[in-house]
Amino acid sequence: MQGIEPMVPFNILVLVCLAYVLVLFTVAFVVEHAAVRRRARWLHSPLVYTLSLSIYCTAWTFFGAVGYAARSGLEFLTIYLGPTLVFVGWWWVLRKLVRIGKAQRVTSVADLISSRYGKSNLLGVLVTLIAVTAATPYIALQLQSVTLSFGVFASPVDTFGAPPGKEATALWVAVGLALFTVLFGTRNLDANERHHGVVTAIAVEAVVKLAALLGVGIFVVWGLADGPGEIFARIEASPVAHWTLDPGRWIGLIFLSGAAVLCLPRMFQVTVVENVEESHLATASWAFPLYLALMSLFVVPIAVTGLMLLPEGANPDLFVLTLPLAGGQGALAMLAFLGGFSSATSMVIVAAIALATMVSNHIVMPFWLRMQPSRAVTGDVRRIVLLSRRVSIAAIVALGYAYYRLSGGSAALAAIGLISFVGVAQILPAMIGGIFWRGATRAGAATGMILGAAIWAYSLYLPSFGPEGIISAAVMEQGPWGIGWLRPQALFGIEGMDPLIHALFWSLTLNAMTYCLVSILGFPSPIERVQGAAFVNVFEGGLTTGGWAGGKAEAEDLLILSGRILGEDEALAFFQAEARAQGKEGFLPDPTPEFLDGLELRLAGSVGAAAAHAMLSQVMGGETVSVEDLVAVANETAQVMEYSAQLEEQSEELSRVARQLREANEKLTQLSEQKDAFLSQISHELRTPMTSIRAFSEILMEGGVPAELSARHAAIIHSEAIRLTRLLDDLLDLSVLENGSVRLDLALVTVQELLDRALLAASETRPERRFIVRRDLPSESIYVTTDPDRLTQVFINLISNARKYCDADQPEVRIVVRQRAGRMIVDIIDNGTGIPEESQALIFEKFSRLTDQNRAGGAGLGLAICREVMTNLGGTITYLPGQGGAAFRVIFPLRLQKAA
Amino acid sequence: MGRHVLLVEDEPNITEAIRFILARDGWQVTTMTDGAAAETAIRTAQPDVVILDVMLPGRSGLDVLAALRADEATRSLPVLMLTARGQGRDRAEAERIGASRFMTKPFSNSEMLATVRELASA
Amino acid sequence: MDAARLLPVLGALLFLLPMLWSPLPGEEPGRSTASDGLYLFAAWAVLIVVAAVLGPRLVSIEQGKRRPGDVSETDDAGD
Repeated sequence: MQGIEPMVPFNILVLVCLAYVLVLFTVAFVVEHAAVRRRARWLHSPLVYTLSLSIYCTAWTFFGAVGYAARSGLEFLTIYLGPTLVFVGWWWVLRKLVRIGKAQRVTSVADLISSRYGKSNLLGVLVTLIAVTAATPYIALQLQSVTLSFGVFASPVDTFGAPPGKEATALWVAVGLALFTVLFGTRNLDANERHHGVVTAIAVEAVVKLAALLGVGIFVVWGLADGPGEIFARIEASPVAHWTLDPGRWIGLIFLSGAAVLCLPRMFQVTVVENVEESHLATASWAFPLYLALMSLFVVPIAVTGLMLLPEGANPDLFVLTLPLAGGQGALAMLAFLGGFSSATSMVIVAAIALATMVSNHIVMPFWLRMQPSRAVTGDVRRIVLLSRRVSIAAIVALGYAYYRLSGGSAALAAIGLISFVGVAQILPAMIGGIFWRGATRAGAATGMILGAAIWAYSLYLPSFGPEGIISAAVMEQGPWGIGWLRPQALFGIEGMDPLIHALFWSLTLNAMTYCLVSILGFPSPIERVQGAAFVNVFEGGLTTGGWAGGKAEAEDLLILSGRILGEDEALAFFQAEARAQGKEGFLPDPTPEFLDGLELRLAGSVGAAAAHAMLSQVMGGETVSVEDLVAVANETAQVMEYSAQLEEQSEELSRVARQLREANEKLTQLSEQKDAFLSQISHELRTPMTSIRAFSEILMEGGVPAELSARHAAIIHSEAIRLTRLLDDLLDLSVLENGSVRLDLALVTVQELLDRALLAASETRPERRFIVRRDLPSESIYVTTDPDRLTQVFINLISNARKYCDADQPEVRIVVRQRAGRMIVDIIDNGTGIPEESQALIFEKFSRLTDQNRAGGAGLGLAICREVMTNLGGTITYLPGQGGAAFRVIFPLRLQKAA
Repeated sequence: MGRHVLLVEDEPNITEAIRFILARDGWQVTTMTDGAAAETAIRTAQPDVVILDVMLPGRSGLDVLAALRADEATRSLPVLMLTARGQGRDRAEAERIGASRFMTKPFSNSEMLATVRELASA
Repeated sequence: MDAARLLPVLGALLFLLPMLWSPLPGEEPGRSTASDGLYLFAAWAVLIVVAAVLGPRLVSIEQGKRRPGDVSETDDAGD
């Protein structure tokens, strides 16, 4: 087992790699085409989704885990336990992220943060910078591991430290990866940024690396040892038989890896962006942890066996390769090599795609758009976007290569990976806060992330370049300018902490605290509030609609609705103006009635008043309105509007009809009010005599009252009973007249005759008063055909009223009769003060007695009955103003025809 | 215990009935018919109980009641409201303004007497 | 659904439990790699099995809540 010879010549190794890449290329190509033709349903299987998640396991896992185990025992497991907890708990966070990702068409983790905090490009740039900075060493790590594994094959192990052409190898690997990524990552510019071909290729690679690691593991357990039993014995006997569980590191690393699996741009890409169906998460929730467990299963046995069998000083990071080689298993070694190659390539490809999307969308494109002289942006954009993505991919891989050259490939693999993790974990507070806390603000997210990233860079990232790097050994020892509490690895004077945990603790704690504090002190802008509501409440409402929470409508719900109808800018401008009017500049207006009315008017301008009102009341009522509903309403409205445009030509007629309708409506309203008043009056008019009747009859029933008093009481009862009867008669009369069901007894009679009878009957009213009646008898001797009794009833009423209410000292009544165009006109005028102008319109209404001074005259139904009688006789009765007293004009036809 | 009732009612027959019922029980009854003059009369006469009709000429009984309740001197004066409009609205309005009791016409004589006694002794 | 919410909590407890165990008695500092490894993998397996049992049920609950026809978004792939 001592002399390990390379089993494969270097050029053949390169050929194998190229062939492997070609296979991947073919897979991706075929799948891409199948996806276009929508044939391959299996593409959308949860299995492919789960396997694509395996890019979490990079070359760091493939090679580095064994090295990690050889150095620190079981601590390497933390890197997989964190993601296991996140996926097992998918119901909490992942499900929400995926749902938001779909609803908001999120393209990257930077887009998620930027979109959540009011589409802030500042945050997009910030997240992109953190992600690129953190990913650079990680990509370097992949290049390093591929280069190292090439080195194992290409040269004898004892000269392993400096294989010739190492940098050249790394360069070629970098160029090859960039090329592959450009070819497949930027083929299409899909709105939802999905790459089916790449995802499937990644899934194939996932199978290869799992098979390779399991293969090596099985070889180690059953080939180099005698099964599990012996392996256990070897573990007990090995240098790593005992390990130290540092609680800080244990908790910290589990948390860190859990955070990383959410925040790593490449993980976000495969978990959220490339997710085709939410239910796949349910499968991934157990299948991905299973994958991780399988990947970790043989790590310790391989490490232990490597430590035992391989010479002192052999790099534990390469045991996966060197053990099969040492055991003479060339094919297995080749598989292991391909597994490592797969791990590295898949990570670089997806990371480059995800980062390039972010760089292109948040840095290059905004910059390019700003550089454009005019605002006119045309179809050229697509080409520009693709170009910027391709350049970004190349640049990101180039950065990784530069880091690799700078750091000299010195650090152990695991350390580099963890530094990256702490970097991307700075996104975590803004992400988790953003999906659970509506009050989180852009300013909070930005300051938190800037502070966290700065601490991370200062205490962990920059020191990783080594003592000759950016931060000198002196600064590490004494702090900048000798300020002890600013030492990068002992901030605030806390010494003795593990540097990684130290950086993780300070950066994330201060990040989260600043984020919360600034968010609480500040106030979210309107767009932030809208987006916050859409994110936090993503499960309320439909799949794509940010639903309205039940109960009272919030201003942001209204803004979302308005934005859909008016366009976001216009809606926002309107809301801001309203907020200013309410004295809440910079905030959203309160949904006051005034504001809602204004909004409804504004919406009505776009979709019509009824639709606007319906929508608003639906929102206010807490019901959800789907986009389909709104579109349906909008379509209907469009049709109605087209129709009404045609009608506009006849607008004059329309407005006349409208006026009539309005009048009819007013009349109806009045009638309803009159009915209420009438019933109330009837009640009063009936109860008043009843009160006297009841009171006096009770007195009589009790007895013990002197006889003459009893007689008086009985007389009161009698008169009140008569009053009741008269009232009922009047009511019945009125009811018959109003129904038009009155039977008319037509007869030929002179007007004089009618007036004579009326004057005679009316003289019974206040007979004590002396009245002068002025008549012109010749003008009265005209025959008319009418119902004499009914017409007389009207005259009696008018003359009685004059006798009752005329307040002149020498009362007189003047009766003027004329004949005009087949109609008789009879004016009855007294010389009193008349009826005040404001009351003239009321006197013909029921119970409209003007003063209550003279009770004797019934319930105030007289003139109402007169009007009904005249209507039935085909005539009218009106009040004549300005005649020097109360004056009524009665008009009726000379010849009344019997109604058919 | 005072024995002075002021009755504001515009129907002469009802006035006569109430006056008879109360006088027989030993009450001194002052009557008036006009709502407009009622408020001043009540202040001057300082009766122990006021019986106030809702529908009065000149000024509504409810208005008179409101004026009484707004004044410190007459705030707690017992007022029995009478109405012939048999609608709940009047009762609710009267109770809101602060009527001590409320009766709908027609009433029973014994109930009227009992109510006045109760108000006077309260 | 509550089970799904509790599962990661249970997992965290299981994974953090080794911190509370006392170190091995005897001359060697630290803990036994073999037995701790067995325990952690066993806990891991338990979580995977429970998640596998819960997953399909949660999906059916979810889909029951949505309107029919809204269930899948599979067809919007491609350009």
